[in-house]
Amino acid sequence: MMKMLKKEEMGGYGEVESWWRRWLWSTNHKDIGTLYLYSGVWGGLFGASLSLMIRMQLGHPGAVFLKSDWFYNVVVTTHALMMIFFAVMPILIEAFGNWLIPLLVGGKDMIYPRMNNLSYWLSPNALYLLMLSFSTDKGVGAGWTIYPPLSVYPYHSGPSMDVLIVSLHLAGLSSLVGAINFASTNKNMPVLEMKGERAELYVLSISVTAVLLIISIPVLGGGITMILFDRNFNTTFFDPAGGGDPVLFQHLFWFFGHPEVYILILPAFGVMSKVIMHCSGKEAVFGLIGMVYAMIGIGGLGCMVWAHHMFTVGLNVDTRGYFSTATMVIAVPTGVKVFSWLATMAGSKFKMKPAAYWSTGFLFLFTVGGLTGVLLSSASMDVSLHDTYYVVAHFHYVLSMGAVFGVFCGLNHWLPNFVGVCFNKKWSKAHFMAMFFGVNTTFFPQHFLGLSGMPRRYMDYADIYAHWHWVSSYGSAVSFGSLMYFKFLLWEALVSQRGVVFSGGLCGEMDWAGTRDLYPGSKHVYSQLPFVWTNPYNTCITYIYKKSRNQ
Amino acid sequence: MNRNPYSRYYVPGPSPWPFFVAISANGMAVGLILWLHRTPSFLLMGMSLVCMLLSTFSWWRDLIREGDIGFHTRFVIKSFRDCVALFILSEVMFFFTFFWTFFHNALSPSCELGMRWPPPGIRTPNPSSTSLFETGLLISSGLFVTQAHKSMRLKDYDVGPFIGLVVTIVCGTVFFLVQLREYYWNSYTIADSVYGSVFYLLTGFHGMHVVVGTIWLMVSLVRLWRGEFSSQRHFGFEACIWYWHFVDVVWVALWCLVYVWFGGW
Repeated sequence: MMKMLKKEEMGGYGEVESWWRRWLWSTNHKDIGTLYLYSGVWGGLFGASLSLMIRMQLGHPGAVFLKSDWFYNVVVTTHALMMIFFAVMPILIEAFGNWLIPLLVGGKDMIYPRMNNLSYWLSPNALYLLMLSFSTDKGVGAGWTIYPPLSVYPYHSGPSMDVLIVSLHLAGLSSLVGAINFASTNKNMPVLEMKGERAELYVLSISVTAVLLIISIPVLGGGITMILFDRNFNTTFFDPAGGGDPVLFQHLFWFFGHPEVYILILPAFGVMSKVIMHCSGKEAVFGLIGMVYAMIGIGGLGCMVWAHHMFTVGLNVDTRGYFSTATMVIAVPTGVKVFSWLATMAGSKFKMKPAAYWSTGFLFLFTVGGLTGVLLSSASMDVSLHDTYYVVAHFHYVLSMGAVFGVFCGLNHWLPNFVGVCFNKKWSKAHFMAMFFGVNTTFFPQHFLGLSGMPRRYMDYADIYAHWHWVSSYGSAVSFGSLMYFKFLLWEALVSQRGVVFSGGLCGEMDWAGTRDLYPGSKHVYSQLPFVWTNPYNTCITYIYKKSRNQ
Repeated sequence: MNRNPYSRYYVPGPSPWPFFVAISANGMAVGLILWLHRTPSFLLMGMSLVCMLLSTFSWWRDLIREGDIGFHTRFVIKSFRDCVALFILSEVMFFFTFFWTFFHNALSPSCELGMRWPPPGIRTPNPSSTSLFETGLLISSGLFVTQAHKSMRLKDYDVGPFIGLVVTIVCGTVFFLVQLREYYWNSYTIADSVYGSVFYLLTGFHGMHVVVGTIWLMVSLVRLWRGEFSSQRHFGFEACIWYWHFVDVVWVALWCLVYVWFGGW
């Protein structure tokens, strides 16, 4: 029988509190982070099921599985929206950010706990609306980019597009509220020694993400509002009949959409910095200041390259020249980051924990995706590769193997901190191997398909593409199987109850040291400002546990 | 809620308002869609609206109470400044979208518009009549709200801030009414080419912000009357002044671009 803990030994969890006050009315960053994790995992599993449907359809030529090409388009659209807005963003930004930011900046909680809860509760409501749009009428088959004229009245006359638009409004509002909260927390809450350039790279990655969200989300909101008006209120913003221009929507959408891809990947960069530093046993990531400005540079440049998604809509040559060049420039700060991570690993006794497998996998595969990105950034090249599977392969390498590897890396690294139990190490490594094989088998052949002209967003294809499509679908089945295996690992960790004895990190890692060897940490870890000491070069932060002054 | 003399920020206890705000936002969204597709549910819309208003009201009431008790340390106030600044940044980006739309169409009008802006057949409003009056209203309201703020800073709690705020609120209300009148007499509608679309979108969203700003000013007036502000601590009032300046700067930009520069007069 378990030893009954006294109330003060339970870190605030022993207080008798009704479930709705704890989960529905929550003002606790850990509980809200947990809620985000649950929703995000649900969204991720749903999105993964949709992707399996896509791959099952594409495994053989002909409409053999989904039968209806409209429904295929609906599945593709919902897969994208689900993965972006309801899986990667909730887990990577909101769940990890909520759990870790207060621990890393030495704060008691997020700075606006109630806004934090608003940010959370808007997201399942948006998810409900997305599911409503998926199941109302015939669903939205316009792709996640919802370009007009496909998204306006003659082609999507039912309510599902309108429902999708308000769903995106709520999801955007949720992200915006969360972003303001994160930005303000990261700016104001850190102890003096950890402000500005001395901030932890993870904290900084969330700050840059938050600023990108605040700048770009309202532009998406404005753009989809204009689609709503074009559909319902007789305006002609995107209708040439009244002098409007559908290309304008593409500009507005990608002015949001391109920062959005950095919003998805920057928190994964932050996770990598933490995990690689941890596994290298170093006090800091190599080239700290370079990393800081590389991240800010990526964020800034990310707002100025949107039209590289539109190289084939008839932009003039000068414009395409500018956007090609600006896009290629992003490879520089990204390279700074990748090489700094490699330099961090160099010369250390690198602990090959499961999280380290994911982080090295990330480094390799994100770089592959980044290199195909440089190829696509060239407008003359992109004209022939636009809307082919080459693009699909590119963005799945950076997202499915960048952002999602970041998710798994973070879960392997921090779930013991969040939940207090450890995964089976050997099986987690096996999971990585299975996933690594699965996603590469899925997406690497898509480069070949794209280069030989297979277009995106079609449910059927010429027989000549059948072989690589079959290989790709086989890989997709493997990665889905490994996802199920991960669920088993999660269950195994929870039933086996292997407690965390020692984080294995240095004392400067406030996410581990701050909880004073109690995992999960108490409800509000720092009841007052923690004592933090930095070395003369500001490369290392040491958290010192002292008895509180008022105890 | 616990108070600790060594902590800069406070953590409020469990609060139902965010949950209800989110639920009622969902209800209003579904209500909007039902209305657009000709199956309006006034029960859903009404209940959601009431729930939204009650929840936000209670939330702000809680916030004001926490400030009165003394939870709003100078650190908390500083974070509020950043929060409102970021919120206004997001609003700026929202209007940036519509100004982008305006420029996209006004700088290179399409063939369907006769490659002219404003398009032939649109009788554009005269920038020196109603809209000039509206510009004057908003600019002078900006001056009066500054006067209210100055008097507050100079510890005048009796006359100065009241006069400034009341005049500002009157200006905002008159602006709203004059704009309604302008809409009524305009010769073109939101369906008259992309010119009408952009014109009503820009002025309409701006007008909605004027209404919100005026309500916020009214709330500040009530709080002033109740003696909730002092010369040093009045961030609620200051945030509302920032918002009001944002609203009038957007109007000045809108007037210069839509009515004057590209007004076709």
